[in-house]
Amino acid sequence: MRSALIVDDKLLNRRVLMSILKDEYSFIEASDGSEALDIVNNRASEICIILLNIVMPGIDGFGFMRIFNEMDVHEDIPVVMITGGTDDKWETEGFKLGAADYIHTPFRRDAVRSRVRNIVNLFEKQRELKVQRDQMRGANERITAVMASLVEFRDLGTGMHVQRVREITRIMMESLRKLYPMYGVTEEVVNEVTLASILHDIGKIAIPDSILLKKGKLTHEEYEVIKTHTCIGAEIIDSIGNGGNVGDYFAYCRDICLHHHERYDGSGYPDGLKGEENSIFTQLVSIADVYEALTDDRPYRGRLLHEDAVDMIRAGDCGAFSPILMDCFDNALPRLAQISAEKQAEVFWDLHDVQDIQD
Amino acid sequence: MQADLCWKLDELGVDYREGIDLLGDNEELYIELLNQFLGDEDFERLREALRRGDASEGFFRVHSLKGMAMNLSLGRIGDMLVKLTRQLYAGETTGAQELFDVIDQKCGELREALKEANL
Repeated sequence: MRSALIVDDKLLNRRVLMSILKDEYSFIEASDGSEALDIVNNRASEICIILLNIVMPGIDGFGFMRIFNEMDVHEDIPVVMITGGTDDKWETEGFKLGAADYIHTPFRRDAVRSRVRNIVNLFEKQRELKVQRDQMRGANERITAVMASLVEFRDLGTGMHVQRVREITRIMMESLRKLYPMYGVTEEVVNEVTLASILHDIGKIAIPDSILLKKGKLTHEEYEVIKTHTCIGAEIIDSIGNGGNVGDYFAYCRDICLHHHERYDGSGYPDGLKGEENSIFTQLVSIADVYEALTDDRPYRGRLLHEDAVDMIRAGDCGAFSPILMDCFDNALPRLAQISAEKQAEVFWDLHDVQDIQD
Repeated sequence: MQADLCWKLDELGVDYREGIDLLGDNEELYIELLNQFLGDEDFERLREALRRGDASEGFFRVHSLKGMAMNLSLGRIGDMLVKLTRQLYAGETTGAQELFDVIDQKCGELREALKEANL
């Protein structure tokens, strides 16, 4: 039996509530907000609901909510506030702070039992859905990673490029979130765009080996074939999403596949989008892809140092990027340098491993 | 419950049937909580706050008493505590002492009734 945490400075009120709810719950008691926060910190997994009085000494009900909202568990534990109707504004304030519901004094036995039961059940269902969603997301992530790697095993042989693009995209998305709050980037969006980024080159699966693996310079015709990977990628995503309304994730995937070679000045492909015609998220993946490619080995050239890659991007040698994007890029530079250094170290150790084997 | 006590509770406007019903027909617990309420330290703190003219502290104390009284279905005592709570929440202390005196008197009568019934 999970516990209801009853927060009230008056033992009498706690005993009344326990008497009403004793058939369905066990109880943890706190006599003020501070004690309740300690309990939530240490015993959150035991708690299925918090019944919270508003007027208490020390940290009152509203104060508790403000601190509770900063805790990771706040979305998993419903809070029902208790009010005697002294001021109607209290209810509004409580709901603003995330209260799931209110119970009014004087209590009505059946109403209290029903409300508490309904809210606990609702949050239980919500928790189950969250677990299922996380499981689906995990499966989705693994399938997406495998799909993305299939392409890379053909031309780059390791599958690491897409993983690093993903890592860089996350760093850039976090910079965007920090520097430009007007885009309303949530953690959910960061996760979805980051995951979607690894599919950016999925369309290359349809490019013939003779072109994709060619070591020399591509002819104009061959380059035109390479460019079709953007549209093919979008078609692949459409076929997965079945063209229907399947949520933001597939929309991000499709847009990234189709437009990650667009450039801010309209010089990119396939649609020659200019400026903000291309979504900011896809622009972020573009710069992540460019930076990662520059600092990685290619059949036709060796990797560049971080500083050289940065100089090239800043100089516009890889096409134009928006000022917003460059701000995010600049903000992300310390972490990008770190990734680049780690990559260099991996190569160093790989070489030593080879040397050890030869010896 | 003894007839004399029922009569006195009725006279004071205490809806003890409703109070006992809220507690799942547990009369013993109801009497225990009634005594707990009547012995609550907030009565004394409220008295002191009113003597000082401290509406804020008075509100804090009377608000707690009001909540308990309502859950025990104390009728007129509860109604007067609601009135005093609203008055002090608005920062108004005029007449508050007189209202508290009546509440105090009614609570005294309730204490006496419980004592006479050996409860």
